Amino acid sequence: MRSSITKEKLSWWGHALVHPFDGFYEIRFRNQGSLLLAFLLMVAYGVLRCISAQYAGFVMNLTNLEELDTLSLFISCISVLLLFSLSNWTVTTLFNGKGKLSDIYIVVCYSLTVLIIGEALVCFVSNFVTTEEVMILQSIRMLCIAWFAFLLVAGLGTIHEYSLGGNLASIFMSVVAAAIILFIGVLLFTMMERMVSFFSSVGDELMRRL
Amino acid sequence: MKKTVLLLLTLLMLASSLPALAADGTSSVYEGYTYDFYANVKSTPAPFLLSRVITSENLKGIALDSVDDVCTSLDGRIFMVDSKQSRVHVLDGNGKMLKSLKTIRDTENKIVILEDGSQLMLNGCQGVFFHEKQKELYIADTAAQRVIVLNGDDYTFKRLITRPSAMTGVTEFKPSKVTVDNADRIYLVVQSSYEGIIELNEDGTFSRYFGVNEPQINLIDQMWKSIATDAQKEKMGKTYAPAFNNVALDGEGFVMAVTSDYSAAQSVFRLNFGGKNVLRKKGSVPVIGDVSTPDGTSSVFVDIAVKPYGTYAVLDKAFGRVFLYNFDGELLSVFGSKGNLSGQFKTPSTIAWLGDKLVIGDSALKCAYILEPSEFGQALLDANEAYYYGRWDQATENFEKVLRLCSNMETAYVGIGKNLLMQEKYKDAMEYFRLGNNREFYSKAYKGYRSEVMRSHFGIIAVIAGVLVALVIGSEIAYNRKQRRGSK
Repeated sequence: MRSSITKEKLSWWGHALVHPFDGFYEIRFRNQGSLLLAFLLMVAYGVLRCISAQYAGFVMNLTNLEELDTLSLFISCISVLLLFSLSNWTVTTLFNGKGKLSDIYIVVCYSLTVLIIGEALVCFVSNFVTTEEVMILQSIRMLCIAWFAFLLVAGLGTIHEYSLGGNLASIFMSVVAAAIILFIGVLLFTMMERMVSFFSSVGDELMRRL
Repeated sequence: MKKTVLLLLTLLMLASSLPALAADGTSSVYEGYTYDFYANVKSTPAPFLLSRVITSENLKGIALDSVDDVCTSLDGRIFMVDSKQSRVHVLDGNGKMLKSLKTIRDTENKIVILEDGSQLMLNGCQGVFFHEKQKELYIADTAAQRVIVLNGDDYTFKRLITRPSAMTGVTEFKPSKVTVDNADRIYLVVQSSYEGIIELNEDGTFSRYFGVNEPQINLIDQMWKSIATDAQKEKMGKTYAPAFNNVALDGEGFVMAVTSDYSAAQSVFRLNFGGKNVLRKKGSVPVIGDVSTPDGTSSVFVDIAVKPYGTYAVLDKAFGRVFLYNFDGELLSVFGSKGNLSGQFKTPSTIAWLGDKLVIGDSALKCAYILEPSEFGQALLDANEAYYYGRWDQATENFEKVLRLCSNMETAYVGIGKNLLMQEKYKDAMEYFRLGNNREFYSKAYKGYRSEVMRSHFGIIAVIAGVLVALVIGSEIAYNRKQRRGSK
């Protein structure tokens, strides 16, 4: 079962965070990844971002709480992850990537773990710092982002069996692909809107004439 | 019975639906607003109300064709310049005319005759300044390219300042605004001069050009210029430094200046002796007037008036607004509008403080308004004055009054918070800084609060830390023992 969470899978999750090449290899080729765990991590990340916007210390928190909309913040956090997974899959299937969509999704979400840990730590500690100490927290946050980026690159490279250059190129291409997907999505949406309004006005007209 | 009750109820409803207006109906004209930390517009009550309008009717029949500059003296006189009629009108604080100057007379009441035999008459004057220290009235006689200095009490001729022989540069000597500082140095503004403000010594000799007004650097222009040939560059037109439009002196003797040039990187200046801009920018929005307008146009500053305690009002020609800032550069309130109602502006040209009142001239409406502070405006001014001079309790009192009248004023919360911080009431100070959205001072208050908590709970904290250290050491020892046993 790809989705079940077993003790062994959990230990490979932990292993992948410190030994990404080794860990993600096991996850990809020995079926040690859990889709459910990945999904939970993604939700946890979205929730944490909302908590951080609301409860991070005042010194660091520049959110306008009067205008904070947690639902849209949550959706925007998650949709970025899903969009990237999807666009990476569309690109790598064209360029001989070995990873499946579920593999990519697992890599992205597993890598999020460091961001979750970092964000939670920063959010908690930021309630007890002054502006001079914010710098330390910022560097912790930067460190976590760097580690996340490393995990992502290493993980994607492992599951697709890419060289470093090819891997970076594919990631760049997936960002471009994400932009194209967004563009087509918006286009589709506006077209649909026009179609609906066209048919509804035709309906109106018919109702009046008959 | 039922009918009377109904009638009373209707009357009550009518009365409550009417907005509370001043008797002259101008409070709605000066409804104010300010920007909060997130640059959102927050409304405030009207800080000023129209008190009097000065038109040619106040001038005993002398035509008033324009109001180009206004200045006031400490004893409450208003000096008003009309460049089209080439006159300087002297009025008292109530708008009653005291004197109108056109021909300049000497102490024997004879018209001053110049070297070439002509009479000394004002000619296209655009600026006026009353120098309190020497009791002198400086008139920038623009078209005649000179500055006329009069006795400030009887308006008799004192001396004439013409183009200094040692003056360098290409700027024409056409002084349009004039200011004199406490060391009697004379600062002249020439419209559209890119070399800066002309600084003259007390005796009228040339000292230097003063103040640098940096043009905004446009990256695309820069790119084109770097690849253009010399011949192309010739044709491209130079980027000149923007000109200053108006000057004033603040209480500490710094020259404050404004520019309305679109290409200027900054629009309000507080120039130190070296000519560098040392304007304090502690506010949550930059000192540029309106932060964001629907059509993207920005405020165009034409004049600035400074109180001795650093609170300044800048006049915006584009939207007919007055921006009140305190000495820290925090926006207090914005009011005024363009239109045809009494108290509104068409082409506002000049602003000056008359005590706590404001005198604002409009060159298109050919009139000057005297505005007096409302209860809210007075509290705002008093609070900032007390704060500037370090009278903390008075400042807090006034800030509290400001907040009673308008809870949108973030600066007032911060003002109260600073006083609490000074009294080491950290917890309360933190609350006020949070309301005022001031993270810098919140952090200072928090630092105090944190060390207070640490000190009062030192026992528990020390015990917890000790236990933690003991646990770490203990686990290390246990681990080492295990390792050793394993290796055996």
